[in-house]
Amino acid sequence: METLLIAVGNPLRRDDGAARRVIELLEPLPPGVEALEVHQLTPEHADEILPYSTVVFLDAMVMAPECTSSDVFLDEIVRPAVRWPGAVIHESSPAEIVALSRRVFGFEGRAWVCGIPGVDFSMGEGLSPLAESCARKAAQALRELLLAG
Amino acid sequence: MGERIVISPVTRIEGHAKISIYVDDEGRVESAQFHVVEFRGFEKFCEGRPFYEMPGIMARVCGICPVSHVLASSKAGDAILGVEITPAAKKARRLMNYAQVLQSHALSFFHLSSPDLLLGMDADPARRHIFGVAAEDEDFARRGIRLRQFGQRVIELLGGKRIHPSWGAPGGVLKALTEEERQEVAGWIPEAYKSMEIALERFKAILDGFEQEVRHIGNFPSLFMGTVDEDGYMEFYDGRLRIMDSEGNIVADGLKPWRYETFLAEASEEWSYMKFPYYKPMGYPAGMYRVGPLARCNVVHAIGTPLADRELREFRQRKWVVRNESFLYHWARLIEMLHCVERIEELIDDPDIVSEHVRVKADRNHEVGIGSCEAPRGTLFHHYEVDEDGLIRKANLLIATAQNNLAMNKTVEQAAKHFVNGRRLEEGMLNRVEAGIRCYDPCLSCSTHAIGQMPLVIELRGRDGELLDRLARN
Repeated sequence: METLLIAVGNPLRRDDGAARRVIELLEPLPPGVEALEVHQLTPEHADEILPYSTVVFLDAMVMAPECTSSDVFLDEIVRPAVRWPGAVIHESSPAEIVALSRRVFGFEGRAWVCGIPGVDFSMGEGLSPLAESCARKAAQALRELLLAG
Repeated sequence: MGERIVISPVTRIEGHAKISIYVDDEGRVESAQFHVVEFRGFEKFCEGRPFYEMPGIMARVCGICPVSHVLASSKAGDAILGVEITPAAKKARRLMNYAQVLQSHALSFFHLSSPDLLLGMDADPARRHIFGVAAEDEDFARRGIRLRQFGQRVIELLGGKRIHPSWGAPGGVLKALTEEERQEVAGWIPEAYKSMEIALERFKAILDGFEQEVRHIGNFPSLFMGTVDEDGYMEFYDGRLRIMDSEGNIVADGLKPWRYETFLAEASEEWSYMKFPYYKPMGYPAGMYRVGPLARCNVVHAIGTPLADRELREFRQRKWVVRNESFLYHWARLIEMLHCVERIEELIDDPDIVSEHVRVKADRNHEVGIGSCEAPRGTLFHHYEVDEDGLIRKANLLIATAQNNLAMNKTVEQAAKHFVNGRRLEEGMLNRVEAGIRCYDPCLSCSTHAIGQMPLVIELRGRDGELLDRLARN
């Protein structure tokens, strides 16, 4: 397998499930692409991304409730940074996972992070109209990234 | 009382807490308190739910040790049904419990405490995390991550996911291991043994450098409680409780976990949301007892697996000695991890582990069900009472960390009195007080995620509220 899509979030907190929705929209996944759905990133993921040449982390972005922008971002993680003091203990950022994987496991692939705006993180299932729209945009952006190789 | 120093939040623990240190006018520490400042309320909102839903709900209590709650809850459900589960189900539960203890202890030792142990208590706080450990010893950090991954993977294979697996059920479990999965687990074993050998050797080699910490962080007499089997060997899933004093005398033995209310009671203090359990016959607070790895290694006759028993003998300095030093929780934790690897190896060699006879069914036959097991941090109890329809009327959870609450408070006070100079705050002093808490690996609440950074601010204030000194991490 060449590409791993890691969807982070809790689908029982509405827009926090946006990343998983993107995976649904991409299914069936193209050959050479796998998906992993997780509630949060933990240090073990530093080892699990090792076999892949490309990793894309998808996660919801918390926006102000009045936000109407549907801009999805898809950026390459070029210089992975580490926060302190919560770094890589309980919940980790994509950059921390990539940094840890490069440092400890020798990960040599490329990594991207895809942020999907969300405005409703209350209890319950289903995305807000804004998050649904952004999930569709993110899915399209990922298709283009995957096609571009 | 002169001044109060507040450490808030305590870092590298599971959950949210703060420490208050009270100093007199001369800057000497008079007392200290460990406050748990979060509140969950599971016992209340479970009321009215069907008892058979409880393992799934209780899996959400904690993101680090959900399996313990699943098992204690399932056992309480077994009792309400009035059934004996199948041998295959019991072995599957045991397997997942060992995997859980392994992964939780790995998190505690490698991720939360090894920065102090490898880099030193006075190391730059900006380096005291797993990256700092990796910079010091890449192989050590990698092995720590993979040990936790091993335990998490076993949980995932059995329960479908590594966090909050809704797998246990009254009457058994929902899924057995397949042959292919059994072979995958077997494939991890050699590396796990090697990693444990390296970790234990490394810890023992650096322990002499922590003589002050061993002596002054949580070194005091108390009772110890843990579960043992009928021969006094270490037991994590089922057995009787043993209570021992600080000189190795067995105070009580063969205690039935489902009668816990006859020998344990809970006090409360207005300055903490966490309860203060104590051993009833000795009263509060004299009935302070410790649970978890140190307590288990103290109360057992032996562990019951050869490699872990060899380590236990060294731990006890080759004689029957109760270790009172809470700093040695770290060592006991490593010994238990080795034991877990040995038990996992045994269990996956057992033909029953792939048997699909893992669930028995019955109706509600009893009004009360109490389940217990040894969680990574100590003995855990789930106590449910149901109405005629099987709906929860009352739920009481006695969590391992709470049972260490009195001891944790005594530990921070002892550490503060020895290490903290109230007139001249240094980060390393306060890190030693926090390290006292980390010995117990408290799990205050893990199922809610911390968002953003957790800065540490320590303030020294005069009795009139005047800020005298301040240290901050950003």
